[in-house]
Amino acid sequence: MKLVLLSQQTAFSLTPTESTLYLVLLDQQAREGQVKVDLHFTTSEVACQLLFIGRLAAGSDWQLETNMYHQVPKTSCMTDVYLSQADRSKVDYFGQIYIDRQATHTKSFLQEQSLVIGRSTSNRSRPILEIFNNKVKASHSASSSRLNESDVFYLMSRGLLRAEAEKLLEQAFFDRILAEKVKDKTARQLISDYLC
Amino acid sequence: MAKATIKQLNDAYASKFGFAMPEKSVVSFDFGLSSEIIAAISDHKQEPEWMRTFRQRSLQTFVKMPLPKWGPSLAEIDFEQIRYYIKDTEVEQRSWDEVPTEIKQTFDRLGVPQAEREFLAGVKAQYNSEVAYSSLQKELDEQGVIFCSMEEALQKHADLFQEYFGKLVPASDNKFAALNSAAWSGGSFVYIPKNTHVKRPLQSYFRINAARMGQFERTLIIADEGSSAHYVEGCTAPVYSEYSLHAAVVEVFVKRNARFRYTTIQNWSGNIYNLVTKRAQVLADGVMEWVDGNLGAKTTMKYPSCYLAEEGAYGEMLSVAYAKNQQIQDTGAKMIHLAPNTASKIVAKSVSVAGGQSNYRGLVHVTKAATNSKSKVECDALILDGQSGTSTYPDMRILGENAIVEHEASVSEIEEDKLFYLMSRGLDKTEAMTLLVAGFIEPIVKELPLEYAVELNRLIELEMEGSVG
Repeated sequence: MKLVLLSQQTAFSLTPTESTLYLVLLDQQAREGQVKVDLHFTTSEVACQLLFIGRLAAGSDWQLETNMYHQVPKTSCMTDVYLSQADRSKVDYFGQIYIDRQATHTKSFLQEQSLVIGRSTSNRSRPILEIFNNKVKASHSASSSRLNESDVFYLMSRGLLRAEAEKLLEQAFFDRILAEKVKDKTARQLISDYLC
Repeated sequence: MAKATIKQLNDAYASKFGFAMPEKSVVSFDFGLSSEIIAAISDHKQEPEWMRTFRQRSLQTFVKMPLPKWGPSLAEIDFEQIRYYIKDTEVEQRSWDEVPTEIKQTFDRLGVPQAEREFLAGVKAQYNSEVAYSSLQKELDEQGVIFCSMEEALQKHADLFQEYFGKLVPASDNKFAALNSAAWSGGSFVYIPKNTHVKRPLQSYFRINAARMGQFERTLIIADEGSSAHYVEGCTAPVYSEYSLHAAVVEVFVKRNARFRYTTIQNWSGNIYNLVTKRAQVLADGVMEWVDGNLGAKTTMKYPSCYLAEEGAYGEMLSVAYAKNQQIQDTGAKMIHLAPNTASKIVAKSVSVAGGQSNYRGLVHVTKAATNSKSKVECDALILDGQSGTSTYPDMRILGENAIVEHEASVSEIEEDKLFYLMSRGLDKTEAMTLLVAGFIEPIVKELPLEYAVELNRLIELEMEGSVG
């Protein structure tokens, strides 16, 4: 699978002709950002993955949008959005999967997870499915949850400061994604560097 | 939709469970909505001044408000071609024997079982716009439970009625709530006293029988502290070739430690716009459960909601939608978390077949005050052929600290191996698919009272005939 790093924090409208992993690493220093990625599947047998990784800085405000348009048969896509949110960070995510009437044998899945670390955060999530034929497999899931206090407590009881414990648990959250979702070695390295 | 298609829809409905009894209304106003007609409704019902004013103000709100810009198109509704009030019986019946024969025949055709008819001693049977039959059960009286028509409640329990009426769903909430507020007629009023547990479900049967007739019933329920009850409404409608409108409003107040379940089986015929506003307010440690089955109607837009207003409140929505023959089932739920430690759950299942479109549209809003709140949403859609469609439009807004919100949705077709297995055991394709659909919606059906579960399964069976294979 080809790797494409979408390094600019802007809008993309892409038409993949071969199987591709699109990687978006959200700017950790930015106070605000808007990233939109549209993938138009017009070539059969193309399988893509779109992966957003973001550590949202304190007080930052993000608008994220992904739109998967499956227009021909036998395409597949996995959209993954993984975020951690520091104090007062805001995120508004809109993620759509559209499968056209003739796009039979499509597989398209979307997963969004937000790990809330800071206080006074805001999270809005709108994962949309629009399906117009029955020969498909499609699903989406979205979740937002805070760091588990008992995990934090356990680590603090072992001598870590709260900030260290939170950092370690955030690392574990992203490590699990790396292990489960990223097969490409270069992509793994890019994400590891981003998280360091 | 083309007239021919509508006729086709209605013919199909008629051959299975549709029918129309001759209209025999005692009072019936002209088509269209005006200040004069609203005043005439008030005159006929001998309403107090505050209700007259409420209706007239609601009419002004209705006129000013635009149709919703989202969701299915409602542009075909011609509000001037609807009759806003019909009364079938002059006085409410006091015993089943006194119910007019035509109405009894209607219930016969609906297949209301004998046992249930005996149950009707406690049923409010809505027939067109007025409660046709009312006989309070002795045990309800003994418990101090009020279960009567809205008109009766307005006259006999005026203070209680005025305290709660329109407080959860104001006329300005949406265009159809405004329409209902202006033209409401019929519906049930329920008051469950403190620490009272009603063992048998309170049941109501809603019907539309007149062409181009809007049904604007209004239901107001107050479950006082520590009480529990289950209200069940079932709907079917006979066949007409003109568009009809059902725009109901339901308000449920669940007080502290109370528990209330509101079950609806909706099976309007294919020409009806079913646009309902249902809302519940749940106070501390209260539990509100909506159970909703939507089968019929041309277009349904229904999103029951729970306002979890005090700590420990819980809201739940279980719904099943079945869309066929260009029907649009646009249903969902709203859970508004306003206080700490509140929880909600939404389980929505839909089946689309023969060009039907099922949509889930929902909102989970965890406000800043709702710390430590939890919500879980599950949507599963089944598409049985390539002509049908399904969509999900969830919206999750999370502001409260320590909130846990989860949403899952999946779309799939009938699995070929399961179909093959059942067919290898001797079932034909329709029977096998019907069985698999029944299995798909079973988690919702098992929550229904037995007779309604049987009816829902029977309706699915009838709907599936000729749809597949």
